Amino acid sequence: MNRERIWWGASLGAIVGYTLAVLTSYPIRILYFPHSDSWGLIDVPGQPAIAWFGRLINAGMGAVLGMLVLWPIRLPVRWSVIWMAATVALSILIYHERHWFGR
Amino acid sequence: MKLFLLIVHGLSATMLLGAITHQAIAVWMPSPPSAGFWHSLRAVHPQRYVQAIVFLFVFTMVLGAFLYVPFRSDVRAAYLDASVPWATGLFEVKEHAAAIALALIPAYWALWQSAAHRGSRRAVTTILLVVAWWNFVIGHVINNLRGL
Repeated sequence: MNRERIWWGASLGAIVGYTLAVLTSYPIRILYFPHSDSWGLIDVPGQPAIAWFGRLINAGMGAVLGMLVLWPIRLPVRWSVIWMAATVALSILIYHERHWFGR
Repeated sequence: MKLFLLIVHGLSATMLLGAITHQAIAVWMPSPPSAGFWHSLRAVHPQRYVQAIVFLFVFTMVLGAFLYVPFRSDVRAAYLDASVPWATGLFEVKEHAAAIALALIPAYWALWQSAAHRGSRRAVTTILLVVAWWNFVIGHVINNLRGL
């Protein structure tokens, strides 16, 4: 049961962490600059930046946080929350990209 | 090297697609073993696919992450964004779908370790199935528009 709760927390934390990272600058906006092969927190004018890796790092941080928070809580987990959260998050993220299709 | 990684990425995605599709069929339409292709397909043991699916999903995604950097500069910035922005939109959805599916992997693993939670196990497996197919098809569409 304890182990189940940890996996539950990891998935939920990762979903929330990634979605927040796409829609906002929270918890932290991490950018990769391929031309200089470096990482940073703010855009550099004239330098293309990749945000996706940073979003995955945010998802990883969310997963760790979810595991740590859920570890001591002795409540039964509801697995339906996970797939519902994933479905809602994906729907929001797809809607977030709608501007690419109206050009 | 890019071409080699791209081919391995594609092969790995194909194996993932086969594994998750078999598993989903067995989960949604289980059947006792009997003669014939369709019954045999439905009669596979879905539990036995879990480790392979987790490995193939992570492996395919790691390879995709390696290819993502040249894709962003050589394909997306140089062509897609200006000429076919809808393709960029489809790829953005592919990125998000892959990330959300990766986030589901711990839950997927845990759900397949227990006999309970049948409905959620089915739902998570189905989401991974849809994401695997979406990403496979969109990857091919993008590669046909402008490959690495």
